[in-house]
Amino acid sequence: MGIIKASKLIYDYIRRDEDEHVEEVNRAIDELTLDIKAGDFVAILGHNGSGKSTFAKQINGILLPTEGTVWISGMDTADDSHIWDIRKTAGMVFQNPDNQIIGNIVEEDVGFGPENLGVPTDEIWKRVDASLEAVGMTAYRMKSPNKLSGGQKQRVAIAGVMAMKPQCIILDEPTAMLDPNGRKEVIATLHELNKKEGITVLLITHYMEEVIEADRVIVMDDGRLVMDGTPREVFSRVKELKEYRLDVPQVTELAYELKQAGVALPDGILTMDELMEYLLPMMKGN
Amino acid sequence: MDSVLHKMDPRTKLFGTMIFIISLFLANNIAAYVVATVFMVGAIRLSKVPFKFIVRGLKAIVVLLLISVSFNLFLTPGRVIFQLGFLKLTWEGLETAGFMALRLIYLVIGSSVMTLTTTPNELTDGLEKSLGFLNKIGVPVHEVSMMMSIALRFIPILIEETDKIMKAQMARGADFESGNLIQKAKSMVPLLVPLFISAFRRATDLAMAMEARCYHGGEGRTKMKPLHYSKRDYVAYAVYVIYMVMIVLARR
Repeated sequence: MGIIKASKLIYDYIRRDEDEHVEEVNRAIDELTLDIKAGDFVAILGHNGSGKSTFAKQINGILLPTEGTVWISGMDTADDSHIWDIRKTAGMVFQNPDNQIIGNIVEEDVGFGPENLGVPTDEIWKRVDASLEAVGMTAYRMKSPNKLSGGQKQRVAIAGVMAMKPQCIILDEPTAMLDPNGRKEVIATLHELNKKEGITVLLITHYMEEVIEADRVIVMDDGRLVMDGTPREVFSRVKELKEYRLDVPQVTELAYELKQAGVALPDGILTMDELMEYLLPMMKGN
Repeated sequence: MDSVLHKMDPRTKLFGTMIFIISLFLANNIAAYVVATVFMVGAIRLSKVPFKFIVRGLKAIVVLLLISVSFNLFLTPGRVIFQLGFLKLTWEGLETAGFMALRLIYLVIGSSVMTLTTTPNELTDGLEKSLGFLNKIGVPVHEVSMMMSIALRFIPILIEETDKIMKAQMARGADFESGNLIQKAKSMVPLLVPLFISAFRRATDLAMAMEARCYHGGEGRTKMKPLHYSKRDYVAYAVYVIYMVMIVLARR
């Protein structure tokens, strides 16, 4: 069993009127079954309302399943007695960097998680030092979070989660409110944590460029898992992706269009270099 | 900034400020005020904060000061110096007004010395720890101090947000500049609704983020920066005692 496992997970948003009568039921997740291996970098793609954020909140017990089960390294999220262990194991980073930083100074914010866990003071300092180092924010440790850029704030938020020594980090569209530079910063940090510290990363996003280097890509649509595979496998199915109202990376799209026009190219080209590799010999041949 | 006062435990400084305020209300003659002045000037010297920063705090109370001084000057009965209609300037009035003004000025300066040498976080930490005994009678001390520090963190964010909303409304023809004070205040009302909505949204997000980081109240929580009394704090407490004794002795 992997670090995150969901079995036949169903989640309904239920709207009730004043007398507690059910007014409307919105199925956000529909029979999702999923198993994520420890140490993987997994990206979840999906259009707005595909249930990807709802799934993220299931993982550390902010929302609980209506039906089905979610296990985090063997612990059932519906079991109340494990809730803090689950949140410690699966750290979560949210979309808006301003709304998740609690401390008035960077280092104090990073220390917030360990403080809550009751970690002894010396150990908190060690963890704060290590986490700030891991996300490359040591130089800013005494700064106020308000003075940082969006990308830096998001890295502080990641450090805050890292200080709790999680096995897995879930990021719910962490780059949605950032500029392109900030976006690159955050994604690079995540890859480094994944490779160096062996942290399982679950990145929820709708930016295709961010998922190219992932180990595994999962596509959700309307609360269901519709595609699952390596980035190359997923992006070679351009037509299907478009049906789920998702774009493919620009290079992939270009390669796809060229192929449709009769150029002999393989499926699932992900980078510019790859495309050049195939195109250059052809152009020289002409 | 690094000085003895900056490094002092926030609890010591809070207590010291309290002592100073009490002493100001006890002091009722020049001798006592001399003692208070020596104490205050000593604290300012130790803090190494430039005098002009400290005086800046006085700007806020100028109006209050003028009003209370003039009331005291002219409305205190006693030996008349000169009279203008129903306004009488008396010797007693002069004395009360003088002490009153000194007291107000010292109050502001005394508390500025504390706030200028203590970060907001240290202040909330200090309050949380020194008011910890209130927990026993059911006051949620930890929660209140957590609220205070979160409020401090969000002030600049909400100011920025207000600015954004204002600009968005100005772009659509709202007028915040013209008119008298009342009209200006009225034109601010439409700002409040979006600001409140966004503040509530932020609060929900923040609560979720805090829970995701295992926040579950003050119980079982450790501190990254725990408060410790050191030698200089004990010295400070000794100084407080001496100071209080001197004030009481100097009183009439």
